[in-house]
Amino acid sequence: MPPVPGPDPLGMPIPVGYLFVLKVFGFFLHAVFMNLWLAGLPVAVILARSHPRVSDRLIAAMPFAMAFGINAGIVPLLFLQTLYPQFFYPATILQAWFWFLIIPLLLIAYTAVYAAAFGRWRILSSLVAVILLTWIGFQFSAAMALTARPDRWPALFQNAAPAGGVHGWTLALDPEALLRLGLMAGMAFGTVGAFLALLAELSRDDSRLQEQARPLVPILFTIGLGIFGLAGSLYAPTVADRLPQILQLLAGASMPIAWAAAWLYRAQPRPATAIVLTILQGGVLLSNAIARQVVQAAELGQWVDLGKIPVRGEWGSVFLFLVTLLIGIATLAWIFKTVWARVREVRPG
Amino acid sequence: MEFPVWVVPFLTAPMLIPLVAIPHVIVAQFAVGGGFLLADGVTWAYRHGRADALDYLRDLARFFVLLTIVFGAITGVGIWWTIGLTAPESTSALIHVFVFGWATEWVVFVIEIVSAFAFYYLWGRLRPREHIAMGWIYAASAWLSLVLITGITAFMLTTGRWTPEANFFVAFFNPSFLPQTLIRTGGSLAIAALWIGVHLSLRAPEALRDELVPRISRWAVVGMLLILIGGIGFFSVLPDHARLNIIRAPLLLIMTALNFGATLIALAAFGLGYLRGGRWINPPEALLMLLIGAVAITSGEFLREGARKPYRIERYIFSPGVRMAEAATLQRDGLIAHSPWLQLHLRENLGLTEEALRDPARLPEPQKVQVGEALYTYHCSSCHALDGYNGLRPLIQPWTPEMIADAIRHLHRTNPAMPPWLGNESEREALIAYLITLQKGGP
Ligand code: HEM
Repeated sequence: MPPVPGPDPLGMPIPVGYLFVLKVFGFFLHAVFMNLWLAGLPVAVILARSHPRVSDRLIAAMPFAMAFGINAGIVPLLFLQTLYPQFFYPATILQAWFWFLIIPLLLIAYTAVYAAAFGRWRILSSLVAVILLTWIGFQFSAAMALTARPDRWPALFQNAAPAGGVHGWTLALDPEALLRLGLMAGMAFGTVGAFLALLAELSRDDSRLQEQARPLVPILFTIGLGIFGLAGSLYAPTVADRLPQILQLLAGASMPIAWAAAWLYRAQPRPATAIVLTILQGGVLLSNAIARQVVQAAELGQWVDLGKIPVRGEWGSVFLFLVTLLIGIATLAWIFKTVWARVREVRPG
Repeated sequence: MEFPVWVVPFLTAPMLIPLVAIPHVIVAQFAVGGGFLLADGVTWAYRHGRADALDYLRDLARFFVLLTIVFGAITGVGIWWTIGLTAPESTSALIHVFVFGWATEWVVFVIEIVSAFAFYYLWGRLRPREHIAMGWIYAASAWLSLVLITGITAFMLTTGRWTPEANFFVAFFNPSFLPQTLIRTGGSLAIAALWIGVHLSLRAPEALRDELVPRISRWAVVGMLLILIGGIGFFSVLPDHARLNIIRAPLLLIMTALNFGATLIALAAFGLGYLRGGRWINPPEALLMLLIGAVAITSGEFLREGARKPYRIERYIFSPGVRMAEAATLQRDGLIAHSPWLQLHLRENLGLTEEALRDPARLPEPQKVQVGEALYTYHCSSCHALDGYNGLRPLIQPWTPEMIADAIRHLHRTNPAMPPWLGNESEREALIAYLITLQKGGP
């Protein structure tokens, strides 16, 4: 029996169903932006010579992707800790130094991304960021894989326990983590493809971007589908028993559908097809976020029955959150409206 | 006790928290105070048609956005990383009480980021009214994020009327919430003035410096007033155990003195800046003042953290991660019985039996010492490194075995910053056996 701690005696703030929805929504948001740097930065580096305009636009977008992606990561982090602290903390403590190192590495990567965006050693800075961010992505996959597998904890602990404590230099180098990262990277190429399609069609006055980006979109989707398909075909059988068939179908088929839409966009590059492609790619991320959640819940369901944990009923704070969210959305709407008006105004022609 | 313990040699794992948190606070408070100062500066510059001031403020905004969005955001997330790794029970407790407070803060962060980007990247494109509004939206949201996080951090020091059955608002509006909000609001205005002082001294023309320094000093003096009022409130609501800690612990006393000293120097500088303008300020002086501000923040944070002992969350969780309500059970059944990871280590790594774990004092000496060592890891290592921070070895070196036994027996009396012994009698014997060997150089 692995040493799984008990659930927090304070109980769940609100019923777990809501917490799952918020966690999945947050992870979806995080994935959208994180995909942009996970695949967008390597693409920008590789295409720097052959497609300089695409590369420039991607590099310029990275600081924003990082700001919003890191910010969005807070949401699933909050609800992961609410739902599964007894799994998440041991899994990260066992790899403590590696988990902790994410912070300084991310600081360097983020600075490098800004340096590139401001034109300082563009390629070198981007390359540094690519290496660090890929490593960090792998760390996340390793942590999430280990979170769901308490049966693997004892072996890791016994090799890393001076006087019963953890030295924190163990890395859960797990093929499963690589496959999880592979799935994410595959989707990420699609997200970058959809982003470029949208960017090209929104920047109607930038014909160089359109020329360079349009043919790239289906190629990115093809690469993405290849990685996704390879990782998925190795990973899916290991979780097939925990994932309802309908979800397997949705998560698995969504990427080929988006890939087909990428070719449709190539044939008819217009705002409408770019938007359809973006929506379908959103579907890829959402269906996969849901599938990951369902598998995680099924895996951890062996060790804890969330339904039995008492509910605190922190509805007052939920109300505070919702009211702030409404005011926040109104404020953001005003900001975006203003920004949009001024950006269009300044555009030449 | 139910989680594995991460052992960080020399420093202790929880000391990684201030390592991340203090730089974060120094930048995050700039993010809050700087918001007000920038919004005020831009409002003034537009009203008086000062293109030169706007040019300078744009340069300042670039530095501000870069520093706060990159360094502030990552170190902020970094605090989470560190508390989860080093104090999982307490982090989980905070999450379960405050998760929607944090979710609310997240909404505020989004507004902060979007308005900061719009404020800086659309400089010169936004209409003056819009630009000013963007600045104030940023300032308001940044300040709200400070208020929200203060409710949560203040709760750890003063839980007030909260019990595990009570709700979010009882926890949030705890006794030190208001004083700490005042102190932190004031602190942000002051530290922002010091950061901007450095920037001004390096990048602003002399004449503009002369105009802007009194302007920012005025905000900073108001900030110092808030710190004064908040400080009085803070010391008046501090629980007795926290006051006792401050008086007893030399490090905390030094921190208090540093805090008062640095605050006074900063106040004098702001007064001077307000009365005499900024022509005289040069980069080394401005940097020195920022350093003094950083000392004030660092000592203040140490004071708040150190005063909390023996609790991580006042009257709810003790420093080693044991809930107060569970103490009696642990003292009866033993700490090992309630620590699955400790059990795993003792059973699998040391090959001890179930029977032996129930009564480790009866084990032969070498094994007893090994059990004691593991108990040190779980009960003591969150506050004591072996050698290094609060090092146990040098601490007990001059003691006799009787003194060691007595100290462990009455741990809380030995030093009120320590919790009571949270295991049973037999386990205590094992720990004592280990500590005695430690005196002789270790097992
Ligand atoms: C510090 C800011 C970040 C936070 C707070 C954050 C948070 C999270 C959280 C909580 C999850 C798990 C979601 C869930 O299972 O519900 C996650 C997943 C992930 N994150 Fe982030 N993240 C951050 C930065 C990054 C960075 C810089 C990368 C680099 C590429 C990254 C890559 C990933 C990947 C690949 C996953 C999927 C892991 C898997 O399930 O296999 N994240 N992130």
